[in-house]
Amino acid sequence: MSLLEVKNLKVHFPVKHGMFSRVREFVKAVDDVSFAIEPGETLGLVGESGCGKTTLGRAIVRLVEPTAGSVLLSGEDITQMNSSELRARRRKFQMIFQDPYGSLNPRMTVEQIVGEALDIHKLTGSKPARHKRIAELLAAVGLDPVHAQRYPHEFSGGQRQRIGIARALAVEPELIICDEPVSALDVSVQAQIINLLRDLQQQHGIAYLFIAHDLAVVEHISHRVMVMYLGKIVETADAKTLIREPQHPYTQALISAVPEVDPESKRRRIVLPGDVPSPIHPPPGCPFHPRCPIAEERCKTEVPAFREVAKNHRAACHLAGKKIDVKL
Amino acid sequence: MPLLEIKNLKMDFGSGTDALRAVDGVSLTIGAGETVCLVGESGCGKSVTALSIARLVPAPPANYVGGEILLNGRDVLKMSNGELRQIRGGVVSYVFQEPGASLNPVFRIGNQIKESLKLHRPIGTPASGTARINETNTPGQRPALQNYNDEVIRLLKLVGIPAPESRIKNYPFEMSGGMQQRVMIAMALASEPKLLVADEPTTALDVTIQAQILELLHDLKQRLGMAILLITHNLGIVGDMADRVAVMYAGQIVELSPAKELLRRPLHPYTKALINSVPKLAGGADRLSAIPGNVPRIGNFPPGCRFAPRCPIARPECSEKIPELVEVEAGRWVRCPFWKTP
Repeated sequence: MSLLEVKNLKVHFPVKHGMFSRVREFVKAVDDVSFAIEPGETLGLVGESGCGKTTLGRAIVRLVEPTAGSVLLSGEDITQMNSSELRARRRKFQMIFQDPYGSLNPRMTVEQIVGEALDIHKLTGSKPARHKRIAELLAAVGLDPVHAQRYPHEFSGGQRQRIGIARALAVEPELIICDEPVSALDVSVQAQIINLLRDLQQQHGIAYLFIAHDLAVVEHISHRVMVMYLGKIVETADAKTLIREPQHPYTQALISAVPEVDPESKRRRIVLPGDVPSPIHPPPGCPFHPRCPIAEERCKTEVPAFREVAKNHRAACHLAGKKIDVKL
Repeated sequence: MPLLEIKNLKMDFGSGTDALRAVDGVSLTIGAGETVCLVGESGCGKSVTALSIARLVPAPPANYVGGEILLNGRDVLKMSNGELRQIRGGVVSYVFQEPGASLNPVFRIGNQIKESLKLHRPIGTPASGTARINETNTPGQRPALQNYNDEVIRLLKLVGIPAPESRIKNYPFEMSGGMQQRVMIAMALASEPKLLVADEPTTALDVTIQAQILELLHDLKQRLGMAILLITHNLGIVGDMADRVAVMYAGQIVELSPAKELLRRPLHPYTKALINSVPKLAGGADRLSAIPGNVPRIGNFPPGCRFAPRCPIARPECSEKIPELVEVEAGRWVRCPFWKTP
């Protein structure tokens, strides 16, 4: 049984025009998404801003309420639970946020921040045990336990992200949703946090849903990767295959757009025209067709199926696998 | 004479005993038509260095304690307000990271671009002698402007905004981030600058939009022949754009080199570590070689070589004296006496 199984998940936000008007339109932030995560696995989720990746992450832990679909955690559907049932299950899944400045309460010490999770789930009996556990957690994320009495503002960005990780680890979760955990950090610090997340996974067998917009980071840390566009998953494969043999033209363009450090690189940049369309009025047919360099007539009308193009490799494209000729 | 010559620039925030040295002895030249990248992490002084070129850092708190910034041979630090107004836009234009925050939300974008034209190229005034910026890059006298609107539309076309005739009536909020950044670039180009300073112009944008903007800058540079100072923390962008690159750390340039050679064979331990700490696409799943510790904060720089506490090849003497930036090979400058240490 998979640790997490997401089935046909939808999150639609109503759009109101004016105060008294009825809701006639919806932003389909997450539209019919299904996937699974195995214990100890890292699933990467990439996409551009507004594609729904953050909403998807939040819907899984019910920080936003899903409109339809189910989220099975170890076989139990958490979308149907009431709040006390949900609270008990929250021990199994935790979240790390993008902004280490905004996600820590500035008026709590590190000990209070990390200890709060322990208290809510009643994980430590005595005060000395609680103190010891907090010291262990801080040491595990590479912070000096003597800093437990300090406040978040006394730490750098990377150290604050470590505090956020310690807080998530406190309840010994099986799954951590990491929402852009390194994108606010300096390059030299980013690598420290990526290494820390990998080490923790090896020690504790935690599964991650790793949400980011940086393809290189996602490829590096993930076993499998999903690419999201306008609320839908457009391609999924294991990390190496997805980068080396992308099938969907959007994935191909995304990979080609990453600026490369290597000056010898022969990679040609595919520049997509235009912007991501509004998710309120997604284009008919394939949602990517207005920007797609190889779109054909049928792409404008027929919605492509999310089909298996190779073993464990699925793509939502009529022309999956067709190479894009880059103008020289 | 180079277009821009920064000589041993030293700038403090605050004065007296509270002074914090943000820029410490930066020297950099940019020739006409050259693209130079300034690379570094947050707080290294790259943005204040760039803003100083047109003296855009408010003083106080900024306090220039030494050095010169020669723009066409004249020191910006000694200019009067009237002269500064001429060079701001006239010689140096800026494009910033957050286009949404740089545009005025209550004015139509056409009017915002027009403002720059009115200031620097009023209708009917003859050419000031600078080569005209046009689509074909034909050198020669710039004819006097006849009509602001036509020129605004021409500029919007130049930066690739579709249907510019109707777009000039848009407010910034009606445009996407990528389009807003194109408007910012059009505005910067309106005054026909010789140097475009782009401070993290794509950091707030998505990769596919970033690719569009980089392509645009590349294209404009070739067509218009202006110099670009590009500030970024992304080494991939350096490989794409730069002729030369300066790497900054804690207020100082630690390595200065032709871009391709720096990326192929970095010499300073910080540059090496920085390149190695970035995951590369299809680069395998090896453990990343992270740089230990944190970026030092301004006012808290370590003694001696500022990278020494995080440096894998540091020796005890590194913490005693700040090493000089030395030309170790033709065109390659390094602030580390032990750069040959593997």
